[in-house]
Amino acid sequence: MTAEPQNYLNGEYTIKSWLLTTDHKRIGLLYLLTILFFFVIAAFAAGLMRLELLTPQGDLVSSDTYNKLFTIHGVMMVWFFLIPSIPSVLGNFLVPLMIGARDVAFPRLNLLSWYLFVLGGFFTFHAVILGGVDTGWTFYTPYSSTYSNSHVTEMALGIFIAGFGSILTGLNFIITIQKMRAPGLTWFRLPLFIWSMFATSIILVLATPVLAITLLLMGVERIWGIGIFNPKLGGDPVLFQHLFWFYSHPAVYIMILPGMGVVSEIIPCFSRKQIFGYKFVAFSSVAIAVIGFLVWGHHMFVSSQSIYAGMAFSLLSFLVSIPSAIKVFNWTATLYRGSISFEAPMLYVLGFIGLFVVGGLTGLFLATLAVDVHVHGTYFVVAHFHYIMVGGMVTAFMAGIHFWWPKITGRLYPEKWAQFSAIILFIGFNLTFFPQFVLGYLGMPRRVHEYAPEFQVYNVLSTAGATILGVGYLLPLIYLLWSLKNGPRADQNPWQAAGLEWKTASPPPEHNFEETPVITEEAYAYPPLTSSQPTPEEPHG
Amino acid sequence: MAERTTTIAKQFEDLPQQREAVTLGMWTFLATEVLFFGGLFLVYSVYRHFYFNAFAAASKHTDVVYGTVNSVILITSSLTMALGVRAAKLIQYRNTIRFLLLTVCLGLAFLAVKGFEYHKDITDRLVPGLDFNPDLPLHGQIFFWLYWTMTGLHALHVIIGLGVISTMIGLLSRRNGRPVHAHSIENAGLYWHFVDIVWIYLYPLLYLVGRHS
Amino acid sequence: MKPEAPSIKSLVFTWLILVALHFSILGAALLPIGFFKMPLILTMAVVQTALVMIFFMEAWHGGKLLRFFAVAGFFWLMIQFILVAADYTTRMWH
Repeated sequence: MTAEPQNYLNGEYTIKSWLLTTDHKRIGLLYLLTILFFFVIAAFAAGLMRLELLTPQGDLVSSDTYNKLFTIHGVMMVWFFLIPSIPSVLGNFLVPLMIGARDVAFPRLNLLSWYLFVLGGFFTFHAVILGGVDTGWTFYTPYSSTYSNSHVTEMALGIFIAGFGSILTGLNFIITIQKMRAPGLTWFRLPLFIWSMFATSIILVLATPVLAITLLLMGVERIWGIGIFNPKLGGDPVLFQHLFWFYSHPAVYIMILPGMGVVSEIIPCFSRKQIFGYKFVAFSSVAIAVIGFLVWGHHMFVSSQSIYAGMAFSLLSFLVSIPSAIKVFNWTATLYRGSISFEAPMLYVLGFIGLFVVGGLTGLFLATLAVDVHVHGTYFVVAHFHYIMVGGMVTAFMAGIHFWWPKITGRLYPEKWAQFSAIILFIGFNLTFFPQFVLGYLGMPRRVHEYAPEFQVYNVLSTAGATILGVGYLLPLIYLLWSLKNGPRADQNPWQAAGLEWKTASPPPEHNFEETPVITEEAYAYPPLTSSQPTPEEPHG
Repeated sequence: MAERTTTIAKQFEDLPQQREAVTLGMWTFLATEVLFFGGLFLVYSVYRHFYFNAFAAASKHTDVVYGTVNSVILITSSLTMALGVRAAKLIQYRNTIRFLLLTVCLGLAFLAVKGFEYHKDITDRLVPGLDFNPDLPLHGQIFFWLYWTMTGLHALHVIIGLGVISTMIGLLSRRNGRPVHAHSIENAGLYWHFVDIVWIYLYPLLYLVGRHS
Repeated sequence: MKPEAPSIKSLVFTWLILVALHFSILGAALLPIGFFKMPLILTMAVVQTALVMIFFMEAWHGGKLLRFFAVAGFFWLMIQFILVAADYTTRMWH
């Protein structure tokens, strides 16, 4: 049994060394554990919902309970899983490594971010225990601010606090990327994951404060009932929606941009090729971040918002799809004539591209005013955003976790099981959510626990798919945990990938690099195609 | 502020990098604060647009004297803060402490005046939901709701700012060989000036709506 | 090797202008100017903001990057105001 070299994991084992750590790598792992907890709760809520929807009648849970289930699902998935997932887990772990730094700019602030996240999560979870919230994750007024009898204030408090954690994370990344790049690492030599994280951080920093004040206003209205959002007292509920969506639309870009960053890292590696159109992809990330702030009104087309404003928002929403499309074209061009291998990260990423395209195109349907009038508030919308969030973002998260697993843990996962799980996930996902496009188009509303009998067959398909999807998530949990003790040890660069993070040990030492690296070449300096293709160590299993 | 001794945090390469990172970090934080307060200003703007007459009627009940006095106090505290930052850059410890103390005194004066003002507002029945003055129109409640929320949030930031500045004073006074970087004082100053800037807008928007002589 | 610092004169002078502007704002509010009152007052407030940022916060001297960060928040806030205004001002059009 060879002695393990000192790394960030085995330096100190005490609980205190974990809970008081300022090491960005350990903080990333703390986030991983925490978001997993919330993911399980939110997934369980979804499972109950899908079970209820097997039959047209509302026979499993009451309508009140169903309202609480979709609220828990939305709140926890959005704020306590998706938004922190890649930024706070992979971002925290990788950003300093990828730029050759020892840590982030403000390590103690980083730890504070995690504690704020945990505190916020505690209040939210506590609100659920006490009986939950039935307003939907969108907290529309005046129901949330005046009429709901559920634990809105406490849940809003939880989200408010967690929001400050994400603001600080974004702030940390902006300064780290701006100021702490290794010598020679100019902007256009950075990995595209860093560009994505930078764009994400801009949104985190500028949008989240608006969520904070919006929740504050809703909470104060709820407690003191003055009429800011209550039409009976002169308030305008649509104003709440303007404030809420000013944050929540950019928030969806917080959720997807990091995923795109992961895709941009994995595709060159498993095509053994330079990324096509580096600058286009880099600038597209920033464009998405900026234009993403201009489109929020497309959530409000039927809210009584001015139809002229609606037209403006519709046009802008079409514009924001362009940089995303540019990325897809560039990824595809990278694949073309590449030497493609189908390890699990690549399978997930290929799935991402297909599913993201479907999600993105259906977004254009929704951005079209006339179509949206028909499908707003139906399962069409639900399918659209799940294609992007689950088909896109969660798939990218799985890809990233697998790709960097050797770096993070020093172990290899069992490749065959991983490939199998990726395929299961893809099949399960499509079976779950494609029928929902049809359901929405045929007119089934969202957020209802009973429905007209003619919708049943699609609902049954969807629930069947959800079961398969669940297996697709359970399997990685099992084999990844298994690999921690039993997987073969990974060397420094099992994928023969480009990037600074692969130039240090797996797992890295606490200070990341023995000496500060100096960069002299472009990103993704994959050698031109030769006959031999490097293969990772083939593990047993 | 001994730039000669190294107290550089271990993630930074050198002092200039630390200084630039910390300053840029504070400006980023201030940007988030602009958007945080901005939401309140947006709500204000929308309801002022809809209910101008009610806003004007309600605004007349704010105390312009208190408001104007507080404006001058806060602006002066910004001056003393800037003078303190200047002294810090010129490595004049005693002057820095003096100016920071002066800033804290002015900040406390601001809060004291606010306290008297709030007391008067309460006795004038200008708290919505708490036996609100019936002579005012219904939508005047929205105005005063915004008044209390905006000035209250602002006062909270004043208190936090005073805490930060007091901490700086404490660090400066108990130096024993550990230098305090000028950029720390400077960043405390940035926060304080931001608090001043918020007030620059609160003053006309809350105290001076529709005031003809 | 002392770092640069602003002169006492410039700081005090800035303060004087700021106080003068405060009283001008008060004065403008009390005069029956009518339609231009709000734009005038807001302009004076913006000038005050610029003075605080340039002379007290030294936003100008920090370099292009700093200047960008300094105005970014306001710029984004303007996006919010403009697009929300687009809704409220055009709702009643036919």
